[in-house]
Amino acid sequence: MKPWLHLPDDQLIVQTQKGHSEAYGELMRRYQTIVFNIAFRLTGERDEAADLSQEAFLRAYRALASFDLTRPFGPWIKRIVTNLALNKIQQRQPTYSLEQERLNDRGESETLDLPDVSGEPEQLYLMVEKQTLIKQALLELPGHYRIVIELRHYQELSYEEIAEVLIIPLSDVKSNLFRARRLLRKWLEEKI
Amino acid sequence: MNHLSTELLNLYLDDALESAEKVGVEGHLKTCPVCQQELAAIQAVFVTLSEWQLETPPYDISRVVMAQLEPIPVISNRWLSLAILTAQIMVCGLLGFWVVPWLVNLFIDNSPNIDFSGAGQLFSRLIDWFAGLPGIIPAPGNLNLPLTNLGFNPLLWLLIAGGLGIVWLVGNRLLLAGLTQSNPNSQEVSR
Repeated sequence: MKPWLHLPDDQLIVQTQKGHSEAYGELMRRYQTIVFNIAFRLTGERDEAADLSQEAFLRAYRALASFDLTRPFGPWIKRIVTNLALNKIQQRQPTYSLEQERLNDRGESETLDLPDVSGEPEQLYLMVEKQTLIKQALLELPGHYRIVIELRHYQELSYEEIAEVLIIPLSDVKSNLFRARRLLRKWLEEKI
Repeated sequence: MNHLSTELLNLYLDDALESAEKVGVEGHLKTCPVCQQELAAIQAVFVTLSEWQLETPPYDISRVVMAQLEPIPVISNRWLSLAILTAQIMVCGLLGFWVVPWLVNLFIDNSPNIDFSGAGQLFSRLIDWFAGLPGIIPAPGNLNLPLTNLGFNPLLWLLIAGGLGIVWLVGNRLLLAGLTQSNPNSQEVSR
């Protein structure tokens, strides 16, 4: 059995700093799904999200030699991928239609990670519908609203922390979040 | 009856209100069905967002990244390390240049049966050349340095010099180990 599996994150970082890159592999395995989902929620593109996740892990690795071990790894890597995705979405318009087209081409069940509801086609259908709806709703939002939703609802940051990450005033965080939720509500009420 | 603003209800749900405001909002909500309904509508958005199910990445990202990793430099200041290494090499060179002729002369004096004449002449010339250089400490062969007048056995000095050399070599090995750690997984995986 590999010795890294049961080590806590900070010990994995210490082992990585000593040159055991396999320890970093274990660290990535622990966080890759979360990191990928952050990038996916923000960009709406699976391939782009995977590329951003790779980039985030590489950047984190290069900075690991000077990593402060008193701080947790999870929020740090989430922040890195959030910033990368934020840069990406600021460079372009929402691309939901393209992604949706691709989803439809592939078949939705192929791209959605769903629980086992075999034998319950109606339940599966509703679940797929709901997931598609959430994704669509998020991707309909302008980038600066989507990012506050991501940070507040999925990364569970406080208003102050969001302001710090986005380098915007606290009042902007509150108003952006409020407007983003209002848009989401309106959109969801129309669709459901 | 004045109703609570949607913005205030958002702050309430985010637990971002002062305790006095929070008590006020809760008191109002108990008696106002309109605001209760508005709160429920906002909460429905929260619930919908929380129903996001984690997607599996399209491939094992960790394996792809592992193939691209380069070794982390253990000594963060690489240039400082190289400077120390260079200084060590220079000191070792000077020490050798200074001590070796003295040792050769020592062997010539103590081993009359062995012909050192060729090496002796070579080092005598080196000692003369070295002593003639301006601003450089003369070699021990031409001076009565404290080193030669301390009364220690020459063999002891030889052992000290050898010990110092080993210390230098071990130090260098450790230093270089920090600079050139290999990554055992770099060739292991590919996308």
